[in-house]
Amino acid sequence: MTALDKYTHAFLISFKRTLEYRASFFIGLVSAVFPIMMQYYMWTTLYGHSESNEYFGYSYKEMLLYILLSSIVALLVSTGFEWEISHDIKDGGLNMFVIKPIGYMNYRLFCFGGAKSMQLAFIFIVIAAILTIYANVYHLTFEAARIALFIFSVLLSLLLNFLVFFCLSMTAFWMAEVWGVYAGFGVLSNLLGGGLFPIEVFGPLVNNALNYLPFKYIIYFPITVLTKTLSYDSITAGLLAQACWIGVLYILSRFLWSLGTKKYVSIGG
Amino acid sequence: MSIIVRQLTKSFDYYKKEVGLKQSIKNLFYREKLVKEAVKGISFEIEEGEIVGFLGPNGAGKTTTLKMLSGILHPTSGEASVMGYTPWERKKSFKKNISIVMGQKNQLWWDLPANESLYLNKCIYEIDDRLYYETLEELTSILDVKEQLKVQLRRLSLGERMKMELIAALIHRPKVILLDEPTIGLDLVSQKSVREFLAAYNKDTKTTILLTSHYMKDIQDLCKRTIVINHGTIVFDGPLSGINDSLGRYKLIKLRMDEPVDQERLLQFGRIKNHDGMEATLEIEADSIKSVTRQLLDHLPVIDITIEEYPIEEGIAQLYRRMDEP
Repeated sequence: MTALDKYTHAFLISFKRTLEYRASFFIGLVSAVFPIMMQYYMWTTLYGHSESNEYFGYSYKEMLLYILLSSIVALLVSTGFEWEISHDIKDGGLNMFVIKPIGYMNYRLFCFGGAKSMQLAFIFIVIAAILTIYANVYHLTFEAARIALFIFSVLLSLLLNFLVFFCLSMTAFWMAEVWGVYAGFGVLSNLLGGGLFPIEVFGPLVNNALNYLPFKYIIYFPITVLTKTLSYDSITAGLLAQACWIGVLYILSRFLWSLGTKKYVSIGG
Repeated sequence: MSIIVRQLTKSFDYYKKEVGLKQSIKNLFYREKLVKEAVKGISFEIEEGEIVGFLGPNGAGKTTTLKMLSGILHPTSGEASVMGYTPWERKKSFKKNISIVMGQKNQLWWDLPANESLYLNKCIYEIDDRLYYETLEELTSILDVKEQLKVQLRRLSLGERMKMELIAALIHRPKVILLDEPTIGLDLVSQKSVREFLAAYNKDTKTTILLTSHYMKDIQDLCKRTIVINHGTIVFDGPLSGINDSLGRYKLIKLRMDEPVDQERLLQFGRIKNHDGMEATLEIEADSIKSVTRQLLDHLPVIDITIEEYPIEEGIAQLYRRMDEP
C-alpha cells in the first residue's frame, strides 16, 4: 500500500462513474454539432464562393477545420468539478476531506483525470476521423510528429484548464453564490481561449494581450500545432508557455486553497 | 484519557438582515457584524472505551464541538486533546485514528455501489488488503448489508445507506468515533439495529464513542454517561438517570379510582400533574413516597396504583427551560 494508491483509485472510481453516465457525454458531443453548424453557415456565407478568399489568415477549409477541432477540444478540456467544489465548500462536504489523510486538490485532479480518460480516447478517434477525411477530401496532410505534439499539448491543456478552474472554484470560499462568476468566466475563457473561432479574429491588440494570459494555450495553441505551419521553435515555445502557466497556476491554486481553508467555516451548529 | 477538553470556545461572525427589499439594499453597503458564541468555554474528559451521549436542543453547540474535536474547525480559544493530538493540527496519524459520521451528510459516491467508495477509503487510509477484507466482512455481517454492497448507493434505502456510511467511517478501525445524529430519519427497526451495532462494536473494540442524538432511546440504550449542553455551556454531566436527581428527586404516582375525586382532595398529597375525574397523576417527593402511598390508599377509593420514575424527557426539558430563564 503506497501513498499513490489513493490517488490512482480516485482516478479509477471517477472513471467508473463516467462509465455509468456515458450517455451524458455522448449527448454533449452530439449537441456540440449545433454550434458547429451555425458557424458553418456563418463562415460559408462570409467566404462566399471564391476559393481564394482568406480571412484572418485562414482559408475556408482551414477555418472549418479550426472550428471543428476547437469545438471538440473545448468539450474535452471542459471541467464541471468547479460546481462540485463550490458545493463541497457551501454545504460542508469539504469536512469529510479535511479529516481524511488525502489532499483535496490532488484528489480532484485525479478524479478529473479519471473522468476525462474515456472522453480522451473517444475524442482522439473522432479527431483521427476528421483528419483522415480532410486528408482525402481536401488533400491536407498532417505530419505524424505534429500529431504527436498535438496530443502532448492537449494533455497539458487538460492540466492547465484544471488549474484555471480550480483557482476559479476557490472563489466559493468568499462568495456564497458563485453561479454568475462561473457562468461568466466559462464563456470568457472559452472565447479568449479560441474555443469558438481562432483568436486572430480579435485583432492585434487583444492578441497581444492574450500572449500574457493562459487562455490561448488551452484550446487555440494545441490546434495550431496541428493545423498551422508553426515552426518547431514556436511549438517548443508554446509548450514551454503551457508548462510555465501550469507552474504559476499550481502555485496560485495552492495559495488560494490555504487562504480559503483558513477562512472556511463549515455550516451548521 | 482519550479526550480532554479545556475551556473550549467557538464563536462565529454573522450578519443580520431585516425583511424587505430596502433592507437588502441597505445591507449591500453596510452590514452589522454580530458574533454568536456557539460554544462557551466547555470542559470535560472522556476515558478510552467510553460511550458518551451529547444531548442538547438544536443550536446548542453539539455539532460545533464535534467539529472541533475532529479537527474540522479551529476553536476561538481553549484546548482539546484527542488521543494526545490537538485535532485542528490535522496530523496524519491523528486522521488515521479518528472518524466522524454526520447523519445529514454523506461521504459515499452517490452513483456507484458502496464497495467502490469503501475501497477508495481503504486506499486513502492505506489499509492492508487482509485487514480491509476482514473488517469489511465483520462490519457487513453485523449490520447485515453484505448483499447491498454491490448495489448503486442511490438505489439503497435510507437505513441501508446509513449503515454503509457507518462502515465507511469504521473501515480504518478508528480509536475515536464522533457520531452526529447517526439515527436521524431512520425507522425504529433501523434505529435499533444501528444502536445494537454501536453497543457491540464499542464492547468488542474498546473504541471511544461520542454521539449526539435527538432520540432519547439512543442515549438511554448506549450511553452510561451523558453530557447535556445548552446555549454553548454544559448544564449536566453524568448518568442519564441522574438528570432527575439534579432537579430534586420526584416520582410519579398514577391512581385509578372507582369514583370521581375532587382536585382539592388530591392536592393535599402532592402536586397534580394530571387529573381526569377517576384517574390522576401526582408528583411526589421520593423521600415521602412510602407514607404518601399509605395515606392515598387509606383516604381515597383507589383501585389501582403505580409508582413510576419521572420521565427523563421531562427532566431534560426542565433542564433546558431552567437554562433559558435569565
